[in-house]
Amino acid sequence: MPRSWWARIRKNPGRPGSGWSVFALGLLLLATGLSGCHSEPRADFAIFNGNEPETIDPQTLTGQPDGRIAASLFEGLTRFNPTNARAQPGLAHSWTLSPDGRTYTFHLRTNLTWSTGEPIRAEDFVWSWQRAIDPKTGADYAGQLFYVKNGEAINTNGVTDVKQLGIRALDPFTVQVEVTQPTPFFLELIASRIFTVVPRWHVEKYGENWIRHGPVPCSGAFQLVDWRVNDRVRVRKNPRYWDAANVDLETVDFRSGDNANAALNIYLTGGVDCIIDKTAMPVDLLDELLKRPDVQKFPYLATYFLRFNTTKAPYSDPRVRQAICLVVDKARITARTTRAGEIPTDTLTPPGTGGYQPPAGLTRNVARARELLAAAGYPEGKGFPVIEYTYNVGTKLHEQVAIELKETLAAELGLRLELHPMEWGPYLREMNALNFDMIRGSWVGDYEYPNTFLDLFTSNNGNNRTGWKNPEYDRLLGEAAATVDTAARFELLRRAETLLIHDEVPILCLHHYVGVFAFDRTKWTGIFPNLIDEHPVNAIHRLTGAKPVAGGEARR
Amino acid sequence: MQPTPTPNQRAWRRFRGQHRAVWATVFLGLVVLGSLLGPSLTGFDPNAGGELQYAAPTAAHWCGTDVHGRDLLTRLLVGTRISLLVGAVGAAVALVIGVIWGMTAAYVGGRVDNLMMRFVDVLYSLPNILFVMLGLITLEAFSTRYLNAHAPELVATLHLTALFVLIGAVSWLNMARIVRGQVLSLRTRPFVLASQALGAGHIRVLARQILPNILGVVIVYLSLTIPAVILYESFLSFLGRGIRPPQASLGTLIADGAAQLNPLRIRWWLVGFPAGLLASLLLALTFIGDGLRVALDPKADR
Amino acid sequence: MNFVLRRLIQVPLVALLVASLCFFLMHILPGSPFDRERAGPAAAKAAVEARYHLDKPLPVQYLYWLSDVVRGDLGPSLKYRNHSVNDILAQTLPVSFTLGWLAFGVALGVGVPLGAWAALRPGSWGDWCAAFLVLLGVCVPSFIVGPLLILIFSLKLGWFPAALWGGVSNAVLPVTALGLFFAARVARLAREGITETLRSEFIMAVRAKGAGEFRVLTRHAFRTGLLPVVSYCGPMLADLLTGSFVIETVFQIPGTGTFFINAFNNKDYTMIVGITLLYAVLLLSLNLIVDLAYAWLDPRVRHD
Repeated sequence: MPRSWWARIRKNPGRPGSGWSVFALGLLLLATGLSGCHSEPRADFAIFNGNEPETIDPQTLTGQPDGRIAASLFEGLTRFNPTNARAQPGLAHSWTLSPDGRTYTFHLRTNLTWSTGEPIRAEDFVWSWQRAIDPKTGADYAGQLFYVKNGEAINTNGVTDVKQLGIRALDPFTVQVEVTQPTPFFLELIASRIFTVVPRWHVEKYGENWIRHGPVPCSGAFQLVDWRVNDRVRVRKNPRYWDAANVDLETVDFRSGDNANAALNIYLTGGVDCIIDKTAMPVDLLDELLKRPDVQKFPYLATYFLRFNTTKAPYSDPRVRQAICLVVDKARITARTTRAGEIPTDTLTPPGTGGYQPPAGLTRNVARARELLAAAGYPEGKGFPVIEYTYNVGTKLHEQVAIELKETLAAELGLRLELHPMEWGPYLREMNALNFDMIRGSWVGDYEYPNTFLDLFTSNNGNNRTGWKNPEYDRLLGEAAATVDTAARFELLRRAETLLIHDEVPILCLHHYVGVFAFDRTKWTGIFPNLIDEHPVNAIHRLTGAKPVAGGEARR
Repeated sequence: MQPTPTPNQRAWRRFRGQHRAVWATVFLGLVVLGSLLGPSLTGFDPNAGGELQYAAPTAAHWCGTDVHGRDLLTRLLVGTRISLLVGAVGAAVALVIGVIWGMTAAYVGGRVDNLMMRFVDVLYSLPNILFVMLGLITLEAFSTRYLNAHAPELVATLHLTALFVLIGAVSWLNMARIVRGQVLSLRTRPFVLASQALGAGHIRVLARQILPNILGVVIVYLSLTIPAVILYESFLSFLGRGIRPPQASLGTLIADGAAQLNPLRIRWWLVGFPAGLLASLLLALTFIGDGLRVALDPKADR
Repeated sequence: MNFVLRRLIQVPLVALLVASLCFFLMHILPGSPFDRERAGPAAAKAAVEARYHLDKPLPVQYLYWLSDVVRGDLGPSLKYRNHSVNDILAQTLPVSFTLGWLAFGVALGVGVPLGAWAALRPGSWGDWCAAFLVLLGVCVPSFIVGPLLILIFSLKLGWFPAALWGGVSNAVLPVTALGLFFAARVARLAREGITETLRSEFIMAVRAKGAGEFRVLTRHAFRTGLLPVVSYCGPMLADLLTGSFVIETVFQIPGTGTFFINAFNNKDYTMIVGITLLYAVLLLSLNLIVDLAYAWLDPRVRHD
């Protein structure tokens, strides 16, 4: 057949009517292309979850969207209360703490099974935590397990036997955990992803990509149905979950995508029921969106700040850093750029973090700033080198902040700021290599306690990235960690934070984030504002009387 | 008796005869003038912010203001300058590579010609964004590694230059093909053969005999490359790989403005003016290109 | 036949060459795909890099990669760690292809008749229509056309979904936005080509022989006049893939383009190299088909 086809071309290149063939081909392609489209029924509840997850393995994931999916599939000893993100009993129904505050004993529920039917026992927890701390697993968040005895030593290869980790199974239903020091936020900490229980036999059988070999045994309220890349991850209710009676949704879609305008369009046309990630809302429209009854904002445990390179002159001079901090109009920058009513701040720790009130920072004082700059040898900014300000591209916001900053410094101090936008990778490299004058930074708290912020700037913390080393700061934090009394502890932390944001200022704090979510509150309930932006999917309920979503499939 | 008009005079007359092209030239001239005068015309600094955030067009700000309160008209003019520069430099790079490549292939002929044109075919069939991205990412790595340490003020300039050159470097393929076609037919013409017989070197023959004769085609094609390059830059801006802020091109202004096309609140001036200006600019350039083609068409005299 | 065989052999060789170039360039650049905002333990990063052989010397890494590629395995994605590149391509390529084919169909199905009409009736409203479409398509970037279409036909009129992929109705707006640009170019080429042919001596000769006007057009004018369109089909395919990235972003369509462009930012080596390799093979093959089609239509071209 091909031969005769070719021979015909060779012999008779000008077939009659072949001019139309181009047009005909076009129509044919149209027809075959259309037949390739097919739609599927949507889930009971569809969430716009932000960026495509990198991995949903609870022990190796890092991203917030990844974590939301993993949290619906896997649960730990405790879980988050959806209203205030405090710990409540999860797979453990109760626990006791030793008087010295260093040993926890957790009692598991006795009816626990994986979604595939096998029982969940104390040994599974021991193995899961050991997997998380094992350097061979490559968990980026393994640092969260450093509060557990021997955690840090194992992860940094000081101790080679993962069995030395301070977690033991006393019997099939009892888990004992030793912590290095009294840790007031420990119960909240272990509700997070990396402490959840994963199926040992399944992970060992399929290796790193066990999550993609179905059916995946799940310990959480949902089980994985399928994952279409850059489209959606679908989960279905896990009928064997201990609290399945209180899980209302049969199927849930986590939609991914990185275009905020498209996300909003999808939400407004009913393609998803909820936008849960603030990055999935157009920054430019946040003020307009917040006027709607279905959009709600809430304070969120995260801070936007800028780092100084304290190893480089003239930024090695605290007076220069103070001068720059004193001149920035944080309220103005925040109001003009972020647009969701973020809280301008002079402190790193958001107020009320675990009951802690941060100390006073440097409030705006242009006259004082000019004095300090002159005292440092740069009257009216004369002789001051160009400030190289590095930030990551990808969202317009950082660029807008940079431009506002540039104007303020030029107008008030006569300093010139040069913008260095960078892609994510180079940005991180330059930050780690201290190859900048000032660089954008931010930090999201992992648990509701000031240490989640203040620990960053100890001399040897890998996230310090300012070159700032202060023995007094380290000492105060160390002393606070060993102090059991909360008031005394907070006083020590306040003294440390004063060093950080008032005296030495290796960072310039700009604002505390707010979280924003959107869903129709006449139809759904169970998503509540809380400080660490935790919204367990198992708590989402359809309000009685509300009609099923148009186009929704019948409950199975 | 009237003297016989030279080919250039005939071409000019034919061009003048096309009103569309003439008006387009006038428009382009005005835009170029405006973009060169830019800030001094409007009285605003394109990068200086103001209190008036997102102001709709007023008597003070004819095209409104943006998120930082910067005058949009001034930014449009300065952005047009950059866009035109991208178009000109990109097209010039494409011109140089394309003409040299095409001339060499056709003049040398044989296996070399075959190989060179096969290379063009292969590049033609691959998405050129691949090469642009690879080029930009390599350069970014280079600039962050060395320039940040030694001469950070050069980073922006380097990026801009790289962008110009890279866009040009992926736009030369058509030029090479067209030039090759022309040279192939010229190569065996009597005046070329005569010149060679008189002992002229290859370079001399190419420069003196062949180049002047393909100039018309090259100019026409160049005028079509410029709008294509400008559009390509706007596409790169959408990918976040275009001109670096706070500088702006029409492309970055449009890419920023595209977010205004939403159902809640449309600040129309942020998208309408840049898109309108780009469209009319490209339109004018296309009309001029068409006009030039008719004017320089050797068949038109028959 | 010899020609086809030679070109067929060239396809994998050229594709491999381009992909290898890509491979080395990406690996020479500084940085690791596992750089994170939160500095994780150094041991974790080292363990992950070792898993993907990134700790080995470059030539060894290349051999690992090559031996996998020969077996049809493009490797694991370094960014999307639960997926292999094969897996991602298997899911996204059909989407991008459907989008691309449909747009290709629109480009030819709309562009060719419009261009032909404009050529046959210069100055008519059809000609103006074609000219307007051309201007719109060539002068307004697709990332403006796309959101405009959404705003009008989805959010205001509610005729089509605003985004996502799946049903036929989902395809209408993105295919229009993507196809319009190419339809404009095709129309322009078709108009010029047919106009040129109609003025040529060979058509005069055919007419002189007394052939009917319809016959002149369908048998001769279109066949020759559409040759520029056919030769544009090759590069158009490449541009469709590139252009589809913008449309995929605007309409939140789970296609390959997004992964390709983002892989550069993520330093996802395997993804960039894998997609490059596949694109190259596909495009070179499709171009071969276009060349054959050209030979079929144009009696002057002979491949021996």
